[in-house]
Amino acid sequence: MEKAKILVIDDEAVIRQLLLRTLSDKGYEVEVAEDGSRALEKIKSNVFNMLITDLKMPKVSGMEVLAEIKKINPYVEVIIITGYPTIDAAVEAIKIGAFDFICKPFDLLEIQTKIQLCLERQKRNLSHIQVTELTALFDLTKASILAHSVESLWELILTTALEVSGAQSGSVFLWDKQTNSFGKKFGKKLWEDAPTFTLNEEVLAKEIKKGETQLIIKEKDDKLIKELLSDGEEPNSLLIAPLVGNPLHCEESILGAVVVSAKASGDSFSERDKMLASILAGQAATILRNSELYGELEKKVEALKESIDKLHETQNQLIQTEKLASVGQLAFGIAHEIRNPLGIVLGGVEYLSTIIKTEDSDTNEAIAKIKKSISRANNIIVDLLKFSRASRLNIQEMDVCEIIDEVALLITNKAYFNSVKIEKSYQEDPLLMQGDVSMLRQVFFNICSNAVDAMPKGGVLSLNILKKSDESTGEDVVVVEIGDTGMGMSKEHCLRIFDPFFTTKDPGKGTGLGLSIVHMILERHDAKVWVESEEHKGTKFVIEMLQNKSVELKNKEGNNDG
Amino acid sequence: MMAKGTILLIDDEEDFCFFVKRNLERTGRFSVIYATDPDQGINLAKRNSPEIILLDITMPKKDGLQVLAQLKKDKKTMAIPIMMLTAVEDDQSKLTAARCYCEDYIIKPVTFEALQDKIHEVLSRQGK
Repeated sequence: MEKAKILVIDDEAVIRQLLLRTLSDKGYEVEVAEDGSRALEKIKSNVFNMLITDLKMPKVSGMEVLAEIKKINPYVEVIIITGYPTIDAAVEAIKIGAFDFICKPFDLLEIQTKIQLCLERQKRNLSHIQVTELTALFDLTKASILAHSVESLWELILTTALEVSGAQSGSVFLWDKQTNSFGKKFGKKLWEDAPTFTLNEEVLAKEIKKGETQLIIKEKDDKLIKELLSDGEEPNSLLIAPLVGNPLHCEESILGAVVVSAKASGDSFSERDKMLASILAGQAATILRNSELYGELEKKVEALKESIDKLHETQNQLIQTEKLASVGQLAFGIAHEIRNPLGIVLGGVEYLSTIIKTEDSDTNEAIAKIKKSISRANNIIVDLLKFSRASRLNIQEMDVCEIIDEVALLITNKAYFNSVKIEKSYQEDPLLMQGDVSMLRQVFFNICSNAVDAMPKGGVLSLNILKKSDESTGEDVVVVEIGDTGMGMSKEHCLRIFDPFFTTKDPGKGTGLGLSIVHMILERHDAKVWVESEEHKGTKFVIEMLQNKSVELKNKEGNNDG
Repeated sequence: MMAKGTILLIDDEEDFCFFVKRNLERTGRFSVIYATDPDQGINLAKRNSPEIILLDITMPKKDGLQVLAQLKKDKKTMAIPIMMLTAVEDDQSKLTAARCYCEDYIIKPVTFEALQDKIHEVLSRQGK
């Protein structure tokens, strides 16, 4: 076992020698000092378990040595011996923290017993305190693993700092790398009226930037403490622990600072507090650095997760698109393959019916049934084709003027036949917008075709394209107006015009589905469509489409309408 | 009585041609010649100067739209009205056909009555 170290301070050489010899014989490591100032020098360079000091000495008194040693290391026990005992001196010595007060001349056996008791208490205290402190530091490490945010880590570090240093209040200052100064800070006091202080952060920053990774303890009269404290009451001592991630690159790796003040015992911070705070600071810096790294890792994991999710979504979309596209393609292919033989069957039946030309009702009924079935089969194909086309919006950038031009071209023959003049007016040409080219072409063609049908005695088909901004959202809107000078519609018709199977045409001339498909396609484009009509004057379809489609719309799946 | 107009049908489906020819000729108004091979069809068009050409799109050797373009480029045949008569129903084909000055675009199967109407419509536009 390690020998207990005892420092004997007495200006009387006889006493020094006596104690040195006696205690050395008993197995203690003994050093001697002839006065207070020598003793203080020794205390600063050595660690003693206990001190035995005379009270009355030149220069520095035993009482002063006692006070000083308690500041440096409160766990060193002190026995005072004096030839001039007074009750007052005894009371004061005990108050400052002396273990015992012995009067000269003393009995050697008595003093040995007291030394033994004193060392036992010191040992007990020390181990208790060590356990408490180490537990606190250990708890910090343990809890830091569970801390869910940087803020809670700071709180934890501050609490531990208060615990190990015995301070009543403290603050943590967080370094902000962007502004190169302290940013956020947290304060904590153990009870309501614990003394608090306000620090000058600039001075603190300057002090920490110096690269001192050691703790700074400032005493009352220190010049720096006056600079540091911007106002408020002065604490008896201040303990500053800079938190530096990498001591070699202090400037770049400043994480913050922990500052605690006002020891609950009223004492100044000791060397031991400094040491514990230093351990704490190192540990805290590691924890914070880890948390930073963990945060970065978490962000990366989050980003990775996001991109994986996105990938999955895109993949699903792609599969869905592919599926729809291949079903569509299949439908398209089948439709054409079936239509050819169907055309032959129809031609054949028609040929036979003209050749037979019979009055026999059974034969005629059979021919009618065949024709009806052909028409049914063809309807299935029409639906299949509709599905293959409408299975998905393919939003892309397109020139709406070009589409209207194409539609005008497609309708030219029909218009010519009906003596309809086509008038086009584009505010901007080209006018780029986002939409499904083939769907919108279908929409415009359908409306134009209806418009020409509405003018059997000729007229004007006007195609206008304008651009405006939405009154409420301010978004750019493309307006397509398709007008005719035809027979017009009643208000009742206007209301029903987009209903499926509603038609004003003669039976067999229209399915009544055209405009409902128009409506459906425009709805998928998030576009608005309405009709303005006046009987015997004409009808105008107005279509308002957002120039730039939202991403959401782009990804919108079309529904199977077949 | 009006002279019989010649109609040229270019379609790879022999059976289809058979019935179209029979049905149209039964009206007594038209005489129908046909080719199941696109190039043969082009030659017939050049040689016979038909009143109207009915043209399929999906054919093994040559696409009907290519035949259309070729006929419309040739001085001998450019004035002949051409109607697409096809099972292909997509906007792109319709557009291409319209750009090549095709007169009409008819989807199979078509009733004889409707086909006849369309032919009359085109011919009347031609002033015939």
